[in-house]
Parts: sequence; structure tokens; C-alpha cells
Amino acid sequence: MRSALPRFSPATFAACSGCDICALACPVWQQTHDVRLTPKGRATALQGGASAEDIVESLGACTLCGSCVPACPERIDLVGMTLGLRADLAAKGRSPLAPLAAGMIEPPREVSKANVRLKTVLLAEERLLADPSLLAAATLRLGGPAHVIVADDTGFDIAAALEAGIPVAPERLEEFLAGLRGALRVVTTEGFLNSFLRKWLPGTPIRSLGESCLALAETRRALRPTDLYLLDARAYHADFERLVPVYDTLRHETGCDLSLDLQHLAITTAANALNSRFGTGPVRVAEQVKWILEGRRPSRVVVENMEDGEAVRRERNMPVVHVAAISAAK
Amino acid sequence: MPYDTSKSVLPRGATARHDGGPAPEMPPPPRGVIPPETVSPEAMFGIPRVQTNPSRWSGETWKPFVEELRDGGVDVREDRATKAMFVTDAGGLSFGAPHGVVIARSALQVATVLRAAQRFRVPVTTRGGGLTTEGESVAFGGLQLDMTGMSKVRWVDRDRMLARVEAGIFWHSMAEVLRRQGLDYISAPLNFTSSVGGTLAVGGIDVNACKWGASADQCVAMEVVTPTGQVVECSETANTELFDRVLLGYGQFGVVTEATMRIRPYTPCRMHHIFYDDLKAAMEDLIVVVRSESTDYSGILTMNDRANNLLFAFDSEDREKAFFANVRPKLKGLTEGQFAMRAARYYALHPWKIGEALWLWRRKRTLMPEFERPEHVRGGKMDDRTVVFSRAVWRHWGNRSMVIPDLATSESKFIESVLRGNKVIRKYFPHYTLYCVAIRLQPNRERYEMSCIPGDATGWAYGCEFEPIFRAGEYSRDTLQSFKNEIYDVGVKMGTSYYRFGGSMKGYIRRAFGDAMVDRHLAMKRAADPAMILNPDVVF
Repeated sequence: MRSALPRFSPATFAACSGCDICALACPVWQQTHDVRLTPKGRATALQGGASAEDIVESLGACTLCGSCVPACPERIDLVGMTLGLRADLAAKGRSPLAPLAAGMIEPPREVSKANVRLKTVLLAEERLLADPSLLAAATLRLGGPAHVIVADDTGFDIAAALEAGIPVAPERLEEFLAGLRGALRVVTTEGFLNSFLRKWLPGTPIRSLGESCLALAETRRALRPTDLYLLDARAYHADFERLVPVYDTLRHETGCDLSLDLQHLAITTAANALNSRFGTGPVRVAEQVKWILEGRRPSRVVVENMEDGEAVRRERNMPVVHVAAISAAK
Repeated sequence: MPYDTSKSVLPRGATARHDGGPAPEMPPPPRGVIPPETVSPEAMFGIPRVQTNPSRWSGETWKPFVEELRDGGVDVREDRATKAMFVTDAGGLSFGAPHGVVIARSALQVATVLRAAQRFRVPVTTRGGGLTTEGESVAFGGLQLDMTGMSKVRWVDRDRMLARVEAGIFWHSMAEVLRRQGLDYISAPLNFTSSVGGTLAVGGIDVNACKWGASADQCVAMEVVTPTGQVVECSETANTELFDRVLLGYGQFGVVTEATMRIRPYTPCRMHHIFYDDLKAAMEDLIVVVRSESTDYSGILTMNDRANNLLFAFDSEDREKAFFANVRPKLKGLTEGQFAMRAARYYALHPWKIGEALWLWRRKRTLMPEFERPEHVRGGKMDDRTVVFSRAVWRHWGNRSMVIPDLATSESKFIESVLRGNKVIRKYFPHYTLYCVAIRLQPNRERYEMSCIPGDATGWAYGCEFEPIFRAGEYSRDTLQSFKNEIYDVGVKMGTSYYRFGGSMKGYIRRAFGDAMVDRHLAMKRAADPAMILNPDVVF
């Protein structure tokens, strides 16, 4: 049984050369211009002998969008470093996020024991589960009801715990993974768990719902050159090297604009970050949406993540549609 | 008979001689003075010697200084975690620590800091991207002023093709904003975490400097906080003396808080490479290319002195076609295929150099894909050259410590200086890169005095960076410093300037520029900064 908790290792920050490249795409940096709150700030503070307690504000500020990981020239797992330090703090009762996550870590009460063998398992976010027509559209894009199982156990309690640094009981993790073993592929609607799932379920393809929908020519054909396609930043950064050409091809095939910066890193809305949900982090979702749309005049915004869609709707009066629904919307 | 140090103090400027007895003690020079060399310059060639960090400011007036700042609403951070972020720079060889850190937020706040610093005589060290290599942005006590707290684009004026930015902004962040409007900066260092303010203070060299000059030459106006805390707007037409002192002034004459920069419409560039197995031939061709003014970008990147790459690029297809019709036939450079054939023949005849051949092949296999990533290069056109180059530089040259000594020369001294420098770097390191570019000089020379622009250059200046690749081995700080010194000794002999003459290399300032010029600048510095508190130990 593998531990759900990332291990905090000093080796993860020792290689930091202080280049600041991680800060360029960091939403916390974008909004605060405070180097202490960036991955580089954390790494260099630790190099200088600071402890996790000394950088608690910085650890609580991160949205875990993951843009720093592919940006880092030293290939440091900066998300893993932050999660490990959060876990370190939580173990000492000093976690800045544990109180927020406390209400989110109830495991599902009823879990059906569906046979997932050779099927696609969809780990759908609450908003998608609450929207039957969109859920049906997503299921259809993934191969139809006969081939898709919408999981009762979405693992979001595990995601919330990991994000806050709270230990996950091995039994609970095993229960969650048991429902996924043998699946043809696992499709997620929010990318935070993707890198963990790849480690926990070696050999099982882990894909985002957005990428899975875009695999269909019908979906790609429905994208217009006047669309802004808003990527799920966490899913994209968790599998960056594989996904860069996928989305680059999409851009050239369809002419649509993508929510990428000049480094081809995804600009996050930060709407799905734990600290954003509770309004405790320094990143304002409204500012992120404003930055994503600055200088752009899309006719509609196509989203992979429903929380991103809601964030855009709150800030701008413009059509927003989920990628699973764009064929119908054409 | 033992030498009695208590009775003997050498007069200032006297030569220290070691006659077998204990070394005589020299009184420490007062702050803000470049002490005379204690041996004649000629005697130092070839002698390994180590520069040391400047002495740390003792902090006697720190407490009342901080109290005054806090009373004025300035947030001074003294915690260990914050100070730890600033202990070194990109060079990673100079280590210091500030007594405290202020994140710059406005010109008025910076002015408050500098006024108090003058009164309490507290050193203030500014820092942007921290990409200095000689400890210039490292505080050896006193206050660290982190300029990246001022990182906004104030406005963009498409009609006049100007952008006003806060000076702590990274060039890349500026480009992110400009690109949303189809615009771009004109010229910036090929390192996307250089700050605008830091670049203006030293020059800033892009691969298009052959066409546009230094990044600092794209600045038309600045808001500067003087060392005594006055906020002054200066430009090419107003307060011009301050303007020319601050540009390429190595942070001695004021803190840049905002800058108005020339911008241009964005265009991807079409990049080409030709190859040489002879460094001299590559440099001769670079001069031909530069003089022809037919390319928009040009430079030399080497893998070793048998594998040299002359790169050139164009913003328009018309210029590209004209170049290939008129200039390319005059160049000695080989195509990649021709070069590979020559290299294969050479290494077949020199089988004992198989290790070198394998290294070149591996280097090419790992490095070249970085320059051809499909998301950045499509149809032969490269988007965002700075992203492409910067990623490659940090991934393949970056390290916890970097030394990049350089020589800045006139055209007539370029080839000889680089060839001599190449002999030095080859002696120290098995693997290294030379990076050479030309810089078009602007008519206004005032700002060039005592800077990286050599006094004898006309038309264009040329620069060469000598960058060892450390990943091939570990080197002591002493070795690295000796290497830098030996490169700079070439500069002294050849009468060149340097880009990185400050910080731990400041011992070369008098030798490079001469006493008269240095003393004139020292007098200007004393007049502008009576307590000598702004960026101490960088130049003075």
C-alpha cells in the first residue's frame, strides 16, 4: 500500500538556482508581486535554513495550478514540495488550510460496486453530476453509457485532504482505488488528482474530460476561430510534455485561441483551489479571469472545468459552454 | 629581525612587498573608495588570486533607521525566511545577507527609504531579477530593496509606440502584456527574468542589438529616485544629465522606478544557422553580416572551438531573400550537412578525440530540440525568441553557480580578444560556450562612458561571453575566480571594456578605465550620494 501523502524531501528544493522562471506564470506572483509567496521564494528560504513554519503564509497562498513544474529548468517537483511542506505543517497542527478542508473530507456514504473492467470511469465534479443533460453529453463523448461508469466515489475528499496536507487513511485510499482498478481509462473533470492517479494506477491512462472530448473530430470541428478555449490548468500542467502538442495542434487545426501564456503554460482562474473556494488566498479569481480575457474578444468561452465556467460567467456577460456540450451548442 | 607591524603602516598607494616576514597591515580603505592596486598590473598576469566579498556593514544605525521607516509606513522584513531569499545572485559565488528587506511598491516609498538611508548612512542594495553574477545585487548588510514589487505595465501607447512600465517588471511579463495587443518590446536580454530597471542600469544585449543597440538605448524616459530621495522624471530632453548617468550607470546614481520604452509591432522571426569548424572564420563572417546591416538578428554560439554556429534571423521575408541573394554567398559558413561531413572526416583522422566528438553529438541531440519545439517554431518562424533561448540557457547552462566573464571590444580588437579569451577558457574547462554579438552604438555617447561600451568603438561594439559548462564537473570558487581574472587580464592587455566589471570584478575598474575617468565618476557619485549608500561595493 502506497502512502497517499507526498514525502517532503530537502532534495526537492536544494537544486533551485533562483532563476524566478516559476514566478512568471504563477498567479500568486501575478497578483502580489511578492517573491516570498512564489515557489522560488519557498525554495530559497528553505535553502537559507528557514523551516516550514517560517514560510506558512507562502505555503497557504499557493493555488496548486502546477504551472511552476513544467517551467522549472531544474525539473523540481514544486507542487510536490509545497504539498509535502503543507503535510509537514499539518502534522504539527500548523496547517493553514486544514480547517478549510475539514468539511470536505467526508467520504461518500454509498458506493455501488460496479464492474469497471475495460470501461471508462468518469470522476465527475459535483456541478457535472448536478447537470443531467451535460453529464449525458459527457458520457456520450466518452463512448456512451454502455462503456462509461460515472463513479459514485469521486475521491474529492482525498483530493481536499491532499491539498491541505491532511493525512489520508490508507484504508480510505485503498477503497477509492479499488473502484478504479481494471478500468480501461480514468477520466477526471478536475486535474488535481491526475498526477497522483498516475502513480497509484500505473498502466491505466488518466485523462482529463477536456482532452477526452477533444479526441473526437466532431468536438474539434465544433470549435470556432473566435472561441477562447479555457484549459483546466491543473490537468494540463500535470501532463505537460504530452499535452503541449495536443493543444498546439488543436489551435492550428481550429484557429481558436487558448488560455496559454507565451511559455505555453495555462493561465489558471484559480477557482478550484482550496484557498480560493474559501476566499483565504491572495489570488482573486476575478483578477485571473480579467487577465485571461485581457486583449481578447472571444465570441464565446469554451471550458473544460465547470468552476472555470462559473468564474467567467460571474465576471463577464458572454457565452460560456462546456467542451462536452459544444457540438450541441453549434 | 622580525617585522614590527605595530610601528609600520604603509602609506596609501605604496607597494606591499613580501620579503619573508609577516605581511604588513594595511588600514582598510574608507567606504566608497577603490583602493589602489598593491602590486603593479603587469605583475598580476597569470597569478591566480581570489577576490573576496566586500566587508559586511556592521549595522550600528540599523535600529533607528528601521524605526523611522516603520513610522513612515514602510514594511521592513527582518525574518530569516525573507532574508534567506537574497543571500546570493545568479552567479552563486558571492554570499551576503541584508539586515532587512523592503519590497518596493512606489517611488514615494523608495524615496522615503533613500532619505532615511542617507541620514542613517545605511547601505541600500537594489535587486531586480538578481541575475548579476558578481554579487552586484547581493547585500553585504544594510537594506535589500527588492524592486520586483514594482512590476506593472502602466500604459501602452500604440500611436507613439511606447510603453510605460514599473522598473521591477521582468521583460517577459512586459512581453505578456504587449503580446495581447500584437506588440513587442524592441530589445531585451535573452533571459526572461531580467528586470527592466536592472537592464537599463547595465545596458542589455539581445541578438538584435546589431540592429537596435542596447536595451537601454530603447528607453526614452525614466522616473528615478535619486540617492538623496528626490523623485525626478528624466528623459532624452529633460534632466538629461541624470538620464545619461542612470542609463548604464550600474545603479550608482539613482533607483529607476518607472521607464518609458520604445516598442514595436510583434513579428515572429525566421532563424537560420550556419556552421564553422574555425572560430576565427565565424567571427570574420559575423563582422561581414553586421556591417552589411542585412539581418535583424545575429550572433555566434559555440559548442567548442571546432563547432561554431553563426545564427542570423529576419523579421521580414524581403530582408531574408535579399540577404541570401547578396550576403550569404560571401560567407564562409557551412550548411549543417557540409559541417557534419567535415567533422566526421576530422574525427576519423583524430580518433583519440572520440570523446570530444561524442560530447558534441550528445550536446546537439539534447540542445537543438529546445530551439525547434513545435509550439514555438512553426513553418520556420520562431515565436518569442526569448522564451526559446531562455529555456535553453537555463536548462543547458544554468546551475547554482554561474561565471560568465566577458570582453567588450571595438571591431578592430574583437577577433584577437576572443581568440585569446578562447585559449584561456579552453585551458580551464573541457566544455564551454562562447556567445558573441554586436551592439549598434547610438550617437549619444555620454551614457557610454565608463560602461560596457568600449571608448574606442565606433559604429558597433562587440561582446563575447565566455561561459563554462559546469555540469561536466565541479570547480572550486578559487578556480572560477582565477579563470575570470585571466579573461579580464586579456581585456587589460587588449584595452577592452567589460559588461560585468562590478562586484567581485571591480578590482579591474581602474585598470580598464584609468584613474582620471574613475575619479571623475567617483566625484559625481559623491555629489549625488553623499553618504555613498546606494549599491555600495558594485563600482565604488
